[in-house]
Amino acid sequence: MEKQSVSRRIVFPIVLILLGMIVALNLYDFARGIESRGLHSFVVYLSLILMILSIWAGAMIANTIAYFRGASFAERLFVSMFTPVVFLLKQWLGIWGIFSIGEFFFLLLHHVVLSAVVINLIGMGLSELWCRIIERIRTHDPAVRIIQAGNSVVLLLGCGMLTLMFWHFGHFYYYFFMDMYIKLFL
Amino acid sequence: MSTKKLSIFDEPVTRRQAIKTMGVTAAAGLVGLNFPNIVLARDRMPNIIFILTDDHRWDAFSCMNHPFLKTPNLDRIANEGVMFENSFCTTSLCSPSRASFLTGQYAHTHGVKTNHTPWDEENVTFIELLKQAGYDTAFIGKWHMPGEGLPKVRGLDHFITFTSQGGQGVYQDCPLYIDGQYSERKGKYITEDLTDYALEWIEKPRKNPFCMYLSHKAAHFGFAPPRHLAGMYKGIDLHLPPEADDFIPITNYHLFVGAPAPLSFLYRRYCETVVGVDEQVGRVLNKLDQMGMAENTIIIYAGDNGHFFGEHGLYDKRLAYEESIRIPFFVRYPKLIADPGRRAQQMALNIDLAPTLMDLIGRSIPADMQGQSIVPVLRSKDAAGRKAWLYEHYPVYPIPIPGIAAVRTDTHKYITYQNNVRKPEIFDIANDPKEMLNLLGTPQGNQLHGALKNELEKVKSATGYVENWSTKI
Repeated sequence: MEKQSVSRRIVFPIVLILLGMIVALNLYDFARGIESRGLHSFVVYLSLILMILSIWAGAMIANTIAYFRGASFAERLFVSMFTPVVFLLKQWLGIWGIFSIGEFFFLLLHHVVLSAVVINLIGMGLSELWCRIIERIRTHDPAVRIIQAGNSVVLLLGCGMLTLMFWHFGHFYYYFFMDMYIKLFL
Repeated sequence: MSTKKLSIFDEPVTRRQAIKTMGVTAAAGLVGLNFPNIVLARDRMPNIIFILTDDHRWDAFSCMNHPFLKTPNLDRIANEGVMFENSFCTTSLCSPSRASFLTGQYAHTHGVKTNHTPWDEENVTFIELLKQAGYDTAFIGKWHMPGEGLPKVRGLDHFITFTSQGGQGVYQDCPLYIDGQYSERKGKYITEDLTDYALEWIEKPRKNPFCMYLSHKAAHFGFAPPRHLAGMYKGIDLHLPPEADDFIPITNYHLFVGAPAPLSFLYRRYCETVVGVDEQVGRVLNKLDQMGMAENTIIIYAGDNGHFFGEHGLYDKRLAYEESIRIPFFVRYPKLIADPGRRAQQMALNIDLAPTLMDLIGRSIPADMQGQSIVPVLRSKDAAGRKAWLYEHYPVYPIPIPGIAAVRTDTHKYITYQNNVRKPEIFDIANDPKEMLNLLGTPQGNQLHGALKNELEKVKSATGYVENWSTKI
């Protein structure tokens, strides 16, 4: 795969997804002030589609772009995780000034804070699979391995964490998190 | 022997009854005129049924002109009693509000600041005081205040509760602790199951008056109506507020609240769950009618806090806006209320329940109760109401809502936030009941600011409030 410039293989996919998230979140909040019910609904649905594409499926898109522009695995991981980490920081910083420093850092284990990163790990893993399948079909190169260490780790880590966090509809992890919180901070 | 009846004051009596009456009267004369009052006081003391629901909005009743909800039994309590149209909780969260109902105190006094801070077993509840006054007492349902094992509530004769899901319980098959004994409840719907126990308690033969605290899980999140009501509002126009959309529960900080479903789905299920409560309250009312106890029983219906369903783009509660802090509060007591169906405008609070009950049974109100008796309002529509009161909220980890201290007057509201994480707000409730315009920073708001700030300090000082956002145990 031809390695393109940094701006094309790294900056572009990051900016595309990040911009999508910023527009989506602001558009959603803006919609509340629209008096026309029809227009209100349209803007809400539009923002929701953008949210799904950027926050939850961003890594699939960003990784695919980066992959076919010659980014290395480390670069692809960076590109894929950039927007989810920004979203994580947004959620995390939301409690700044309300709880203690210890509680602030403990929140990094909360499933809402982690969820975008976890889901995007899975998204990146899936994207890796189809990018490799496409590359192999295009190039007919048997050296292109569909499953390799990097994408396997990303996919397994994502699926494992997702299972843990949403086991028994999320009750198991939630009560584990809260029990730990009570023991540590109350 | 002659059975001819003698007549005293037009009441036909037998010779034996006449002799008995004269004997009792003579004995009473010997021990003083108060004797009959002492003997009969317990008989005259009313039964008390307090029904508390969870997250039941003040407007989710047909008697509040709800666009589609039909709640004939709950309406009956309001229509045969007094409905406090301006009633509020002092903290819009389950555990603190429940402790306030029980103790007549603010959260900063009873100590249950959030759903994670435990109940202090030194707290005195109205149940304990009623027991001392000669009542048989029962607590049936949701306790939901943390602590080690089951709480030891002094003065309780009968205690049924649940501990699953951190004390929140579940709608279906919710295991109960019946006087400390664990009981599986397979196939039981919780509102009905608790009502079955309530009816059993009412029916029990007894010499003393009774006080029953019936505390439902409904209509808390997990909204699940009984099977026969599920889907009854499917396809109906829900009349959600114009600023609402289906995705509110999964956007912004609501992700932390944990209700990942469309708003319309949640609200429809909520309304169906409320109808389930109405049906079960109807069973309680019917039982009282059948037993001829409806006249001498005080029935109070309340909710622990309000709930947002899209107003301000919000879901859940906690914040100091009206939808969150308003609660239903109906009192039915035919012996006292001369004008049933009245809608009182005076402001009533959750902390008023305990002092009101003390007043209703003629006991003095303990000095450490911070609420006030609303008996004068029950007696007369012209009774004076309170002018201002303190609203407090403590941060609940990890929900990013800061601590709140606010004052609600009969016309305005001034809200301040912990560490100024959010800008303070002033609302003119009289002219802007939906609180759409924060007046702070406007000429009108700046004019009001000083007076409202003073009012806030005044209610803080009157209730012994000291700013301390920590919820550490």
